[in-house]
Formats: sequence, structure tokens, C-alpha cells
Amino acid sequence: MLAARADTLQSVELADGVEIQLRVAGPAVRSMAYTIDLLIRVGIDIGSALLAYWFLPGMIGEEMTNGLLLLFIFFMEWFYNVLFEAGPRGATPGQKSMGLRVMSVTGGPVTLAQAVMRNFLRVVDFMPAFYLTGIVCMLFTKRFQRLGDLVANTVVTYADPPPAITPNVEVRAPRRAPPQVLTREEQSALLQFMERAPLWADERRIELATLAEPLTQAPGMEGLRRLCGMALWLQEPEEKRGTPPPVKGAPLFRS
Amino acid sequence: MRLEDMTVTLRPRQPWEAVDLGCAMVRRDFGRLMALWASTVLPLWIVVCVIFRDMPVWIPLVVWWLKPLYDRVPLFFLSRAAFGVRPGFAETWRAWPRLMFTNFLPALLWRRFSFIRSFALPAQLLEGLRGAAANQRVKTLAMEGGGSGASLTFAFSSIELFLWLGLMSGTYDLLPEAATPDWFGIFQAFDFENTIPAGFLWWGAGCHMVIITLIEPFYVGAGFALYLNSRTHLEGWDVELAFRRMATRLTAAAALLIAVLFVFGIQSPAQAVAGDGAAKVVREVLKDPEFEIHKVKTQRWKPDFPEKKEDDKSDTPYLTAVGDISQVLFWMIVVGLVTWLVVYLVKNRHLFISRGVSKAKVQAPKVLMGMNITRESLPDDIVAAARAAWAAGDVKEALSLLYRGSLSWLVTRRRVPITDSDTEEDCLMHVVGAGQQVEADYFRHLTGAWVQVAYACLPTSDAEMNVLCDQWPFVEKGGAA
Repeated sequence: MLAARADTLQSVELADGVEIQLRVAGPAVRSMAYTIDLLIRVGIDIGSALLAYWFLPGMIGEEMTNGLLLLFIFFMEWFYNVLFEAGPRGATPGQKSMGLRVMSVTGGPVTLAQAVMRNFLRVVDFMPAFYLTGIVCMLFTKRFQRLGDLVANTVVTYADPPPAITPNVEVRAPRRAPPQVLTREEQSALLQFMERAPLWADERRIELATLAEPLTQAPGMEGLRRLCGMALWLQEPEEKRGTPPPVKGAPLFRS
Repeated sequence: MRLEDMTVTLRPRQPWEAVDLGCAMVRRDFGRLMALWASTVLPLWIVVCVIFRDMPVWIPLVVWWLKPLYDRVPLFFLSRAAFGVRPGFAETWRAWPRLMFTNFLPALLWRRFSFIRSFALPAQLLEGLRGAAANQRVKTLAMEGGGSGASLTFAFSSIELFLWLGLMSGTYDLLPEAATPDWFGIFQAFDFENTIPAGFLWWGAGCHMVIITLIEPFYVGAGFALYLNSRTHLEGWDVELAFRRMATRLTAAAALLIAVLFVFGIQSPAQAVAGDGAAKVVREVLKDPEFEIHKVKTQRWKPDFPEKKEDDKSDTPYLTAVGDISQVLFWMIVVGLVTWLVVYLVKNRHLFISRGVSKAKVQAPKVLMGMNITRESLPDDIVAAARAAWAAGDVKEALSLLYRGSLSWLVTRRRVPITDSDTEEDCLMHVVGAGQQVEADYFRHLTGAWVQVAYACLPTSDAEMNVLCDQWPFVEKGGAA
């Protein structure tokens, strides 16, 4: 028997006893973000080299240009990630485009020190070549952390909130209390059913409602109606005063 | 198998999060997976190595090509582990021939280059469909998550390639001299046959197998999780499982089989629509008022006569320009005038500030050059008192009275800005600066006489004294001070 179900949410208990859940991001999406950043960096390096050799040698000489360019590339390599991750967004352009951001494991924004630490340790994660250490480490740690993340106490998480899949639909069903006491999980399944049912075909709704027949004690359409009524009751046991405003969207029941 | 033992949390996720779920599933059971992998895939690799023992350069390609066969082992394990039943060695071995030969030809030939290989595999292997039905099913599922399946393949094949290179460059220094290629020969002479020793090729193939062993289970797990996510979105699989669990709890019914679960997808409505009467169903659905196409026609009234205003503008553009310029000029002048007015008022504000304020501000001195000049310290009729002193022969007292009296008047009535540190010369300059011509002339005359008497002890003539007394100007008009 397993202790816990596999999930992508990682709970973190904060110092004051509050538990928060981080939506940590794994190696696949992070390597995509890294690839985008790499392309951006290389593009900027090449562009600045072209510009520099266009203008600078006439002004400050060939060797000076080489030196300046090498300095610039050095700073790009070492501080591109640091500056972006310690910034207000907490994400490099690549991470931003994949919907990621860097966080402290406590769920707060990363400090400059953390950003420096996790990025300077890329050298270790890169070893022996092409991030072998980092990726293997990411695959086998619970929060998908590479060595730099482990040292700096950071995680990479999804920045955007989970997509809202709930269309606004008016459910016309008589409110009714479930005949039996339902567990938390079952209550949540009922609510999920009512919210997402408009996304499915009629047959699928009835099929699912039929599965819940031991609860509704009625087959087919009547079962669906009762199930929705119970979900409404779970949402709000008492009828609201006044009629709710009409909501746009497909009706759950065809008349 | 009991549904309560579900070991994965299903909920509608974003695609990349579903991929992460797959990685988490694989990580949890990585040890067991490796054991199964070693007992099923490793023998296959040994066979490959024996067949290609003389051409080790082909081994990585063959090993790569046969990947769809290996994929089935982790998938078999994961699809059961998700419901809390982890197959052991015996079960896996019994299933292995069937797993390997199910659809193996299409998988190794035309489906080998499918971008959604790991995403489609669960549908092809677990749902037991064949041929066109299987293809249709994969297409249906790919509506939700197919693109992510392709991105997943891209991400994992890049990871695999670079980790392979990484492992090779990391262990290159450990190779014996006999196994290291002659790089100079490769790049200068393009002689591949004699410069790359077989040991190097075997080592490369070995590194490749290590990396595939490491990465491929994660790739399969990620594809499986994407498949689960797709069914969660399309069919509400999480809700279905929760309802089944609830039904089991409420009726205390017997357990169900995994096969039933996966096959259930066949009866899903999307599948039913794709049957014989598809066109008919489509027509029926399109009859629904929701699909009615509404067109809104808006008519805009246009006047018959030409619009005067616009014509004026278009005919005489220079006039409007002149108008614009003169308007700008007008406003510039207005702003300039207002500014000048404000500056003038601020500069000359003392002219407009009322007396009461200045009275409080300017403190008239009471003692000047050691002399009391308050009005109270002087006699009522200064000139008469001076004449009396003169008649008594006290020249200094007479002139002093006149001088003090004039200063008193000038300081209190004329508000000449004399301060108590001023000398006779300063007082005179202030009085001249105050601009009262008659008083200034008289005061100059008086100051000269007073200075001569007070400091040089030079006597003043009777005539001069008379003039000073007669010309005394510091009198209120219409009455004596």
C-alpha cells in the first residue's frame, strides 16, 4: 500500500504551520525554457559581436574590441539568469514564455542571493557536459530540483493560475440533499461533475450519472437531474433569496 | 484490484503539468521499473549486440529504432501501478510476448516517426482497438493534448541526445588508449574506417543504452499521464473513477477489472458519433437552434446633400491653417500677459500690502546716535523750544532739538527706513532716497549745521538759525504738530 498518491502539487509547511501547495515544474518544460533562453543569449551575443566589429575597431582598436566583447559575453553567461530571476517577474524570458517562474521553497520570491547561488551552480549541474548531473538530479528529487536549486532552496513553479475550465451555466434542477453522507472526495466529484458537464456530450453525462445510481436511485435523465440537484445542494444548501441573474451559456438540460 | 487503491491524483491539468505527473509516477517506482527493464529489454539488447557484433556502429541506430517495443514494459507496469497493483516479474514475463507482438509492425514501421508516440501508445495498447478504430480513437484523444504530445517527444528526444553526449564526454577520459579514436585522422584525412576503433563504438553504444534506460521510462510515463489528462478533460475520467468508487462504497459491490476501465473509452460519445450514422447525427446536431447562423444587418442613413463643413475644410486648407496659427498666437499672448502680470505683482507686492502689516513689521528706532527721538521726549512745539534755547545762548541744545524732531517725524510719519545703527550720513541718504524733495533739502541743510555744531563746535550764525526755524517742514498740514 502506498502512503500518498502521486501528484504534481508539492505541499510545503511554513514556519507558522500553514501548508501551501506549489505547482512545481519538471525537467521537460524546464529544458524547453532553457532552450529558448539559450537561443536568446546566443542571438544577443552574435548580434553584439556583429555590431561591435562594425563600429569599434576603428575607434578603439581590434584588441580592445575583442576584450570588451569577451567581457560582455562573460556577463551574459553569468548574469542573464541572475538578473531576470531576481527581478520582479522572477523569470527569464524563456521561463516566462513557458509559464514558469522561480520561487523560494517557502513560496516567496527569490532573493538576489538565492538567484546568484542557483545560477552560479549551473557549472556543477552542467557537469560532465550538457547538464547531465542537473537533469538526473531533477528527475529523482521530489520537487524537481537540480543541485543549484537544492543549495539555494528554490523551486521552479508554474506562474499562471490553473486554467478555468468552468463555463457559466445555469443549472435548472430541484435542490435536494444527498440521501447518504458523502465523503469529501465524493462531494468534490459531484461538484466537478456539475461544473464540467457542459463540456461533455449528453450521452456522456447520462452515462456518468448512471454510474452514480446507487446514490440517486434513478436511471437515465432523472438520475442526472437528481445528481445535479445534489451538487447544487452541496454548493449551497439553502435557496438564495431572489432569482439569480441569467447566465450566458448552453443549458445543461435541453427542453 | 480495488478502485480505492488508485495511486494517482487525477484532475484537469495543464499539459506540461500532466507530463510532470508522469515523471512523478515513474520516479516513485523507478527501482521496480529498472528491474523489469533489465529482465525484459536487456535480453533483447544482448540479441541485438550478438547479431551486430561485427558492425557495432549500427547498434545505437537499431537500439533506437526498437524503442516502441521497450515502451510497452513501463506502460504495462505504470497502467497497473496507477491502480495500486504492481505487476511482478512473473506477471510481466507472462505478458511480455503479448505486449511485444501487439501491433508491433506498424509501431516499428510507419508509426515509428509519429510525434505523439508515447501519447498514442496507451490508446493503442490498453484500449484493445485495432486498425481504423484505433486511429480514430487516437485522433479524438489528440484533440486535447496532441500538440503537447509532440512537444513532449521533442523535449525528451533532445534530453536523451544531449545526455548521451554528456555521458560520453564525461567518461571519455576513462577509455583506454586503444579505444580512443585518432581525431587528427578523422578531420584531416576523413578516414573513418581505420581511425575509429571498435572499442570506441561499443562504448558509444553502451552509453546510449544507459541513457535510454534512464530516460525512456520517464518519456513513456509522461505520455501515459498526458493520455490520462486527455481522458480527464474529454470524458471526465476523474469524475467517472470517483463515481465508481462511490458506487462501490455505497453498494459494497465487487471489484472491477482494469481492462474494463480502459476499454470503456470505446463507448464514449465522441466514438459513437464517428460511427455509420455520423453524417445523420451531424445534420441533427446542426438543426439545433444553437447552430443557427444569425446575421445582423445594420443600415446607416446618409444625408443626400453634401456636408458643408467638410467641403469648407477641404477647399480652403490654408484658411484653416491661418486660423490654427492665429489661435495659437492668441493663446501665447494670453499666457504671456498673465505671466507678466503675476511677475509684476510679485515684484511690487509691497505696494499692495496694507499699512497695518507694515506697521507691525517695521520697527521705528527710538534711539539714534545716542539721542532719544521718541515724540514723547520732545516738546510739543519744537521750533518754539529751539528758538527759546537759541535766545538763551544754548546753540547745541537748539540745533539738537531741531535735528531730533526732524528725525522723529521722518521715522514715525514718513517711515524712512532708518535703523538704530545708522550714522548722520546714512540718515541723510535714507531721507534723500525717500523722495520728498523739500524735506530732503531741509534735512541736508540741518544735518550740515548740526554736524558742525555737535562735532566741530563751530557756531551757527543767527541768520542760518532763523532760516532753519522758518523753513521747518515737519508739520501736519492744517495744524501744528
